[in-house]
Amino acid sequence: MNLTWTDEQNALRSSAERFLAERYIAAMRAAPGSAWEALAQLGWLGLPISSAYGGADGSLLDVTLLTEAMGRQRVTEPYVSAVVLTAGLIEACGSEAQKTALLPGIVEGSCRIAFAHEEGVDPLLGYLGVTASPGHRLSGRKLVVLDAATATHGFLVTANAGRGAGVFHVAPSAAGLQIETYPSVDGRSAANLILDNTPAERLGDVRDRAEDIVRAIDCAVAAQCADMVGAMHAALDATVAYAKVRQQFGRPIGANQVIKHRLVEMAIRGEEARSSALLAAIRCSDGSDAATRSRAVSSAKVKVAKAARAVTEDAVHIHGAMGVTEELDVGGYLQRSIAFEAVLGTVKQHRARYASLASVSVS
Amino acid sequence: MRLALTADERTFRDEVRAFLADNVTPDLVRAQNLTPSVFAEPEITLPWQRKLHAKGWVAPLWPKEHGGPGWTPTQVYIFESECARAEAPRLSPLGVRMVGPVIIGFGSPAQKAHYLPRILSGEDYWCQGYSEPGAGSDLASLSTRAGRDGDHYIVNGSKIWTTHAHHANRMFALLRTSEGARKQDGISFFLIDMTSPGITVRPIKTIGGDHEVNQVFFDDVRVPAANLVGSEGSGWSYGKYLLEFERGSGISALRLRASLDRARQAALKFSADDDDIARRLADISIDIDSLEMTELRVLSNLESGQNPGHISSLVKLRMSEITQAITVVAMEALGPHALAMEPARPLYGLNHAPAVDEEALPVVARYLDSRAFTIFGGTSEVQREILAKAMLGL
Repeated sequence: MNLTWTDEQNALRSSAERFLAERYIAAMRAAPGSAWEALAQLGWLGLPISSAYGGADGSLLDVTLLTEAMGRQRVTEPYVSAVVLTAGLIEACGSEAQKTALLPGIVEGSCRIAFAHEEGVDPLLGYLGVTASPGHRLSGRKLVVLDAATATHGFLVTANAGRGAGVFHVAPSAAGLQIETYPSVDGRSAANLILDNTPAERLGDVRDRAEDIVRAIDCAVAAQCADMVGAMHAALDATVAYAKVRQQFGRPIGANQVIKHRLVEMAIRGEEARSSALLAAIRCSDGSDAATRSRAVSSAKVKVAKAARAVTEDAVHIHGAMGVTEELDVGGYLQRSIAFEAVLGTVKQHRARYASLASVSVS
Repeated sequence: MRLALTADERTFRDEVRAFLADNVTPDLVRAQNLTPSVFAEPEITLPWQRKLHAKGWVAPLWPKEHGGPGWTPTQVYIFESECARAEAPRLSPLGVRMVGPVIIGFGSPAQKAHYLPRILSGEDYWCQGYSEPGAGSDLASLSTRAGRDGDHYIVNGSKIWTTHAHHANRMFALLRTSEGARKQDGISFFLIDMTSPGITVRPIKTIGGDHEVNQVFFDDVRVPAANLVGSEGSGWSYGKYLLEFERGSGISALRLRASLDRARQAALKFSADDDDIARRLADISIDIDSLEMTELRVLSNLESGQNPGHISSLVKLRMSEITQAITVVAMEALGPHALAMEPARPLYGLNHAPAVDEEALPVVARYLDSRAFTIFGGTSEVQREILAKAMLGL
């Protein structure tokens, strides 16, 4: 047992934190995709991708070092959807030709693909209403397609392919494809896709890809959990700093026990969330069996989501009326936590999956 | 980052597991599970302690030279987790986990030679003289006085919430030896023979119906000066050192998981298919996952030579809250069966048929007794004050 980061990992964490703190400006946050080239130059886009396709062979634990730093600065780049979800699925399911065609572009930053899976039912259960005909034509409706507006090379669409689930690549201009894009609560965008006999290319052979899909979602949720850990710690830091300087009744508001203890509760939730997110990331990186991995991920999703909501709500509250305005950053962290809760399985859905998987202890 | 055990660690785990399988008898497990109070009776724990003593495993955290097993922090964790899994009785922490480390750290050679072997063997059974009727969270305002008289100190006053004082033959106590400008500086740490003339023990029954705590009165009790630990006036710092051990040596999640599993089994019997109970059981389990990882992070820091520091306060806070949450859901799962209250003790030795099934028997009393978790060892509010300073600089 060893829960220390390597020197290399610590270096990656501090360079990511430094880069984003110094270079990621508000204008970039308002224009998702605008910092993508910079992330490519840093080598972040290839981090979890195999070196055979130009990547760095990193683990999901390495990825969480970056996503935590991104959460701290409320980065709106489609990193989790384009690098963790779709690149991960291409690597897991794609044929050699498909991997060679798509992955190097993802690593270089010229190719972003969005992930279309949710349909309004529990996305963790494996039910798929979108169907694929034997000729690889897709019909049905997908919801909550994250970062659709910034995708350059279309979508990976999960579909019921008769015998099991398949993952299909759909071009943005494909016939019969309608894209309804909408802004999301955290300053990004999402979309609904309507597919009507839409031509698609299946990734890899006809094998059932249900476990690959669940694994990709688990890795994405683990990466997002780290993002939220970064976000809630940033909100906490800002709130503690504010409570030390904001004077009312002739003293800093942080001198009042009622505020002080609320801040401590936020800090404890931050530590708890960090522990749960770490467990999820380790289980996505250490070759654990699917049940152990999914249970750790669902445990983290529930714990982190509850903590993030509580911490960011309190951050808004302790900032007083200013906290409810766009003039401060803290509200942005609350918005980010709402987006986190809503996608890739809600708290309720993850709790149900957690309860359905047998209890095992961490060690 | 690695959670998996090494081959050596797995071998060690198998050795511990085999020992527990041979020695943790169903009677012991039943007695432990039918104990609603925080501490099990010595008639359960002492026979178990003697088995561990024969193996050299009583005091996992003690250095080898004083009779500890010389384990790494990971080995200690493995041992504790296997004990939790096997539902082995929990030894009283007062000797092994609390006064032991103080004697090892600050005691004289004579004190070490006399007391440490008797702690390990269970020959001495300890209680703690800290709180007083007028000194709870503000412990430093304690007023039980030890006045010097030649080779002795004369002790007068009263201690309260003294767990198992009615079983103990020894007490470690914080006593006032001087009235200085700073009240902490007038406190000293003593080892007291409970059979000394002038000591009386008054039982206090808890709302769960258990006799676990007491009030202890001192009326001109003569304590040899040789029983002062360290120097006069240093007791406060030793006491704080000890409280860090009381607040959790960093290993509680696996015991909580075992209690949750028990509560889940009972809930399945009394409230099967209840979605609200199921949701709360899942949330508590998720809280335990997080606490376990926090404890493992502390352990990993210990392995690399760092201090756990304020994390013991964080763990104590959450451990006590989770403990209470388990008792609440267990009680609510009983539904109308929560009305029955068995007054006789011990529950594992009743000589009449109880009104409810055995799974339900300790549940309400345990809920009531467990309200103490957020109070003893420093209340949750005291822990938050410590954390505000240590984590946030407030």
